Amino acid sequence: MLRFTLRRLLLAVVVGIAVSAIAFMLLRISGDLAIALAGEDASPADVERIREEYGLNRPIIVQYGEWLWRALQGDLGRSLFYPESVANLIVTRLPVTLSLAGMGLVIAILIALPLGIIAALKRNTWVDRAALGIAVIGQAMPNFWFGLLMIFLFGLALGWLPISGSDSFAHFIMPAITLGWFSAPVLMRLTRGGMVEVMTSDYIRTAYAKGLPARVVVLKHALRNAIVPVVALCSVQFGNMLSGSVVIETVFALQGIGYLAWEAISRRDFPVVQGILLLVALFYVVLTLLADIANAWLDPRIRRG
Amino acid sequence: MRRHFLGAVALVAALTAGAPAVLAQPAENTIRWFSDTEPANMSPYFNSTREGVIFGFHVWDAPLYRNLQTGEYEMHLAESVRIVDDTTIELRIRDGIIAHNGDTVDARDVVATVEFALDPANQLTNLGRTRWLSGAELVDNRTVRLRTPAPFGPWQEYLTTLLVIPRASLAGGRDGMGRNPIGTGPYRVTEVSPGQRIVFERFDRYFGGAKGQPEVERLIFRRVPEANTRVAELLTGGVDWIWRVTPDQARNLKRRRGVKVASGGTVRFHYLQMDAAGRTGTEDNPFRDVRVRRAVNHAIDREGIVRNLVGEGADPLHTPCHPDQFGCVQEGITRYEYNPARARELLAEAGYPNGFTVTMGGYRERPWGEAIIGNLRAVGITANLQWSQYDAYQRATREAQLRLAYGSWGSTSLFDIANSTSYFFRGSADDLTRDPEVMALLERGDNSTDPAARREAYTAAIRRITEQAYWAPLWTFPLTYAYNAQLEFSPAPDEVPRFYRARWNR
Amino acid sequence: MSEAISPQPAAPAVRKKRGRILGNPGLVVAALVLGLITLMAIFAPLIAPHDPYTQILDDRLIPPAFVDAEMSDPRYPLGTDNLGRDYLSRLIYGARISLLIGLLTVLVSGTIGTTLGVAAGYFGGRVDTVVSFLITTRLSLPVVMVALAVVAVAGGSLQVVVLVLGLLLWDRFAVVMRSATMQLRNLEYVAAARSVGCSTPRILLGEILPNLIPALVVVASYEMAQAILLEAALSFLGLGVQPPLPSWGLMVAEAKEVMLFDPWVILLPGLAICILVLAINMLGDGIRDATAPEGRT
Repeated sequence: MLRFTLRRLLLAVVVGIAVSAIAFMLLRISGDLAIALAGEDASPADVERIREEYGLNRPIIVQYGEWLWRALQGDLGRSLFYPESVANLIVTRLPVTLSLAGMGLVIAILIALPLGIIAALKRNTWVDRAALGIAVIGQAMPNFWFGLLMIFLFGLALGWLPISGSDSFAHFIMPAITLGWFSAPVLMRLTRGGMVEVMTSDYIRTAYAKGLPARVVVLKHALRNAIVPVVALCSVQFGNMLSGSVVIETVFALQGIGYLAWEAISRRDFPVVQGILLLVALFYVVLTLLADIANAWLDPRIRRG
Repeated sequence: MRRHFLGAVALVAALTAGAPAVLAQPAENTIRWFSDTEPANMSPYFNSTREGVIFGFHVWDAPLYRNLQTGEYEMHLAESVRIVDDTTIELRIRDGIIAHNGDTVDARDVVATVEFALDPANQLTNLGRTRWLSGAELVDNRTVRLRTPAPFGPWQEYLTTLLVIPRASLAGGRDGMGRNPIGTGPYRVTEVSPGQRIVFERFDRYFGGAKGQPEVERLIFRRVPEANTRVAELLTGGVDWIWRVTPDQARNLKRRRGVKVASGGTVRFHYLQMDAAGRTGTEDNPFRDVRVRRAVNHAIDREGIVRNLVGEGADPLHTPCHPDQFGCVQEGITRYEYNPARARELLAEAGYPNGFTVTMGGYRERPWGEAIIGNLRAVGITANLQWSQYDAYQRATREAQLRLAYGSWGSTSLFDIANSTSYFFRGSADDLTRDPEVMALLERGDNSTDPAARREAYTAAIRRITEQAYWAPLWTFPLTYAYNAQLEFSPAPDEVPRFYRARWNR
Repeated sequence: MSEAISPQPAAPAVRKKRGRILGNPGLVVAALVLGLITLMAIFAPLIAPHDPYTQILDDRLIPPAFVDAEMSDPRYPLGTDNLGRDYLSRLIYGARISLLIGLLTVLVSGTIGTTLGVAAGYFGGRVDTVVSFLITTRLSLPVVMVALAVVAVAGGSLQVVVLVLGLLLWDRFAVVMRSATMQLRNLEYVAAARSVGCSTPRILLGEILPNLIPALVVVASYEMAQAILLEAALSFLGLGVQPPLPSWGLMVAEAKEVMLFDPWVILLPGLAICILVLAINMLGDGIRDATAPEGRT
């Protein structure tokens, strides 16, 4: 178990370095930071001056080496636009995205679990198909489109929910539904599959035979077993939501790291983009690691494999 | 209102059902305003966004101020200005100017600001405010002499952008000035939460000057990137003031009670740049031929696009500068009216009876660019849009990768042709024309301090440019504002809302 | 990737499958819808009532009859867009672009992912370690952010979008192909082929690949849907396919300008995307169910 964990931790570090190298090269090769910094009214001479002052005329490899060396010491550098360090900037924006992803996950579960259970109980009937259909629609809609339609309906026409910003719980409802529904089908399928498997097992048949009411059998005995892989998948989905929130944060003017990333990309604020990509990558690696450990803990066969 | 059934249903619902009542901001004496971008650094020397220019007007002051009604330059931080010689301007700074931190501000702060800006070690990202200067020297605590490297025609205009930063604030450098901005202006910054809000409070010890004393107590700025979200917030009372409202939104917002829509002119204009100099290659380059350039000019339905898309307050443009700018003469120029048939004739004469294909770069106001593509298509020119962020667009034009560029120029809100035509036609990397005659004329105009001589040189330059159809000037840029009807606000003609002139009607 | 699609390599039992296909109404409907959209795309020039590029500015934003009968114009059954172009024609032509993006992306990503996955599954050992590392690295790169960053610097166009999405969306192919190949490799007839002395390429092409096809189609359907949605998201941020090409994603983005007061303009292309993606997903589900050995699980 310890070796397994250590191996995966080492993998996380290597992946982090690989991701940062890819990101660094991708960003610097075609973007021109000096022009971006100088802005719309700058003259060519201004741009040249900025290029030299910021050391942007040095070879990419040198610039990356410098960045990596500092990053390994925990210094992600400073934003080229904000008067802040990258780490600070990310830390102040992270809570919004974490809340959004957290609520998104809750909504995904609220949609996926009941639908998955119902679908498993009414397996291969129209109820099963309808349940899957409801879950899948969320995945078929372009999320910005769905978000804008919700703003139109619940924000503007009905006036039930606040439209933009992250000041209160209510501000997160619409963006979380948009984000959560999109992730629901994966969880729903897994719930359904698990439930089908468990419901046909001897142990549940025994429970029924003992005369326990169906509600108890399903919710207490079957679900408890079926839900294990779902929980593991949830952690991975959470990681996906962190990176998937870019568009939604733009629509709802949520000031999280997704929007920060988009804004940094459009401004060529490379240190910030770099930092966010690294953070999201590490989040992903750590969350999958946790999921794997959970699975391995619950199912010893994986540990040996 | 039967025209838009779904919209009408929703809007009626919004009016009658649950729409929260417009919160009484007048009672708070606060203006909440949303915009799509946010300057990352508050300091006017470290950002180049339009919002940053607005912050600059509210938090800092310059020696001169341009009166919006008369167009005259008025004394502001300076109480007098004197031309010492061709390259020296002497300013006497007003007495009793207090900075937001309580310090007294005088000529020493002007010198410090200029020296700070000119020092490469400070890594300025907005060089436009001080680019024209070569130094500053203190005469006494109230008097400063500014030096320019050569005689500089539009010096008065540039003195309105030279925002003076108190010495104590300069010491904080890029980051310190960004986090804790200190100025002398009508509003002081009390909260900077990047991405959340920026709060400005009325500065009660403001000296007034040409700007006058502000009425509204508090301004709250928030960045909301999505246009629909901003409009929806305005309709539900979540914001008091928004701008960059599209003509379609404006048309519909006008019908709403409680919302006022106003359009203001700007010194911004749109244009098509064509590679007349053959920088992208001379072989097979249609734009080398004046007939092709004229054909492009004839192909574009400026009136139609302005009427249907650009909206009220916009005007078709025929010069490579804004008509409100000094030196941008409109008499004696060559105008190209919308005439697709003539455009096709010209193309055939130039040897392109079936037109040609070209890549068109662009970075803002995409729907209008698409309309241009539609116009060009109608005369046989296939223009493929290459949409990008500003830096990629600019690099492509400067490094001669684009033959056709659809651009927009805000002239740094300055009312002088030196900031428009001279920028694009004096041989810089942005000059796709490189006409020595035009370059010489513009240089003569820019380096003279005599208004009559300047005007004469510019007139000749513009006549030559339009006759040769080097550009296809498109239209002047209107800016539409929408705000709470209780707010008394009048749009300024330079893309800078003056909230210190606004007030709430109670 | 412990996601729910883990299609089994198909057992060759065609007759049983046919019954499963026809017995699944979802699959039939999805196939019909997809076929219809494909036909629409192929024969766009014949079906479309107008040139999708011709703009008549004075005719802009004419609503369709079902939105406002009075203001509608019989020449434009689904109205006109922001620039006065016929909306029905643009939707018909848009099917071409959206399908093209989906197919080309899957072609690129499928080639990469299948090659890597089969190699890892068949050869195991070092190859497997390297491929697994590549998969982990790819999975930890956030797709939307990386796509945005690359397209923002390279400039949006059909080619760039397809290439970027193709280079990003191969992970699922690799994961599924890897485990499927591992299972196949140990099957008797593959082992037999090896012992008879068949060359590696021949075993891969002759024995392994044909058996991977059902799983490949299933993954391809999901990735195609994904690519279409991602293109729409890129277009929304101004970085997708460039005008005047009418992709559905781009049409949604353009309609955004007027959505608050003319919501039908954004509803139509959004619904089109939704229907297309739903159909592709249902088709994938249906095929998976039909080819899975033990029915739906």
